[in-house]
Amino acid sequence: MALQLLVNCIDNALIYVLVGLGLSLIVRISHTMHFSYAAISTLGSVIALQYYHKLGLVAVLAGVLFGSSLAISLECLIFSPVRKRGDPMAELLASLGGFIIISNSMAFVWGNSIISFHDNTSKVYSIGQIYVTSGMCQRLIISSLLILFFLLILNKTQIGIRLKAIGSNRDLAVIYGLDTRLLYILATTICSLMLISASLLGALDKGIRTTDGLSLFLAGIVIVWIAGTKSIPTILLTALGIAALQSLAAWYLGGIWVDIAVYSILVLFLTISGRKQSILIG
Amino acid sequence: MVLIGVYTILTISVNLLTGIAGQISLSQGAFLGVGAYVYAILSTQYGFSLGVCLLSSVLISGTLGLVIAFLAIRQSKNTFPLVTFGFQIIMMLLINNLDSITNGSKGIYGIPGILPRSWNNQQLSFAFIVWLSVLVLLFFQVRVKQTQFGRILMTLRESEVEAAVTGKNTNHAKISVFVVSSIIASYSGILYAAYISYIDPTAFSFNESILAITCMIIGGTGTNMGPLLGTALILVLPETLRLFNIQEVGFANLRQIIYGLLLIIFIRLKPRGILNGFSNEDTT
Repeated sequence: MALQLLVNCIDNALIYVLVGLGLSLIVRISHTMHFSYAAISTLGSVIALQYYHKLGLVAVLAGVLFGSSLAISLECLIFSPVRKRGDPMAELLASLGGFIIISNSMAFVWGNSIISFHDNTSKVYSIGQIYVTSGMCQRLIISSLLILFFLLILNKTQIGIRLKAIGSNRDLAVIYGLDTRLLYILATTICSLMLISASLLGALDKGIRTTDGLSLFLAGIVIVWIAGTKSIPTILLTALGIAALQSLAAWYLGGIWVDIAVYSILVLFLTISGRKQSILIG
Repeated sequence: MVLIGVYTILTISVNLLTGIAGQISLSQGAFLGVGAYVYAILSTQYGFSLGVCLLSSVLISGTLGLVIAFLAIRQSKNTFPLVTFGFQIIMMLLINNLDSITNGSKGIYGIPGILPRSWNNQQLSFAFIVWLSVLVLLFFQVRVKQTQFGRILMTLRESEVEAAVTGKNTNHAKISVFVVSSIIASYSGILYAAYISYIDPTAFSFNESILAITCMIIGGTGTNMGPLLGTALILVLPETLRLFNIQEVGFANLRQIIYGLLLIIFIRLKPRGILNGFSNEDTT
């Protein structure tokens, strides 16, 4: 049983790592939690799942492209002009507006029933006493590749160095002649790619509802809050810790306690650390 | 008209916390739900009187507000909303899943009104109580701004560092305003449940928290009459959609989309709302 719990926990952690990495990037450069990503990630995967039976992998690509394009449009038309005023609260409120519009548009078009892959017959393999689904294997491979891609972009390319520079000191980055507008768009693209992928991978076995984005987003917030935005190993470890606690909560207490477990970690962390840690975001 | 009054009370609670004290809360929908569910459960399942229901609702929402305020107190303006967001999510999960207490997604039917059955003209009397509450709370809001406590809150809104430099106990002010705001939001929940006589979790979702913020921003952040103007505008405007014969389920979503659009338009073009700048009560 302990081994099965560990496998489930790693499986969940892979999704949270993607969310945590994506959000850490956007929080690092904008210093704001963008709630609109909670809806954008769900929208991308809903489009992919809705049309998968007709278009196959093209639908997945379309979902990712549509979600990312929407995120870029929001960045250019709303967040960027609001950010220039230098009021992070206004940016947060604008992102809430974006969240409301996108999530309700989804509910208007597709309702609130579960949308899943039409060939949703995940194969189950048994290795000793451990059961592994084909969805778990896909999650392991795809999320590993995405994490690798993220690490490469951030640590081995000029784009990554420039993104870090904006995160550290935006004004200085502007003085040095960096094209901040383009870099914000790139960060938005990478973040939406990570979040849509996470949402899609999470939906492989159990499908998705148009309202599911908030729970994933809450987990992402907690990870970024605890781990900060700069240390990728800390993000990995925090994601693993949250997934472990969730697995234990789901195993012993039931499904509804999963999100409550995540919030409890946040509460515990706030009680211990207070304001010091939150400066990482603010 | 009654619903405009109920939601104005909710918006006043947001205006106190966000408009005057500058702390954005994303959990007013949850506190609306706490008030409504405490009243509904105590009155339908236990048959308690209005006084007991009111007192219990105030105590429970006040205690929850106190706990959340203690957790959020040491956070910066940027991270304060995230603590309240987590609380909103958890409350929704609990309301949805604790079937034995809240009846889950089916909701609670047959909630009694707050007036004795013997009273004539129940609708009119209820509307009178709601609007009297609105007036009292609007007056309370004006008075708060004129007190020393209110000035600390307004300094907090402009700069937490400045507020701390004055030597006043800013933590005490933040906690107090959060608790008062939670109690006012839960009072609007009681009125909502008593008026509609049926509640389910969808009426207290994250969307409601954003709705209250939207009403405040449109009316005028921190202004005296902003909550009333913003709520009236935002509740009446989507009703024009009914002219197009849209189904009720789709209508609810379209209404929310309009709220979201208005929020973005105002944040982008007139971030401090209608009354700030057009009247002599500009809070800046």
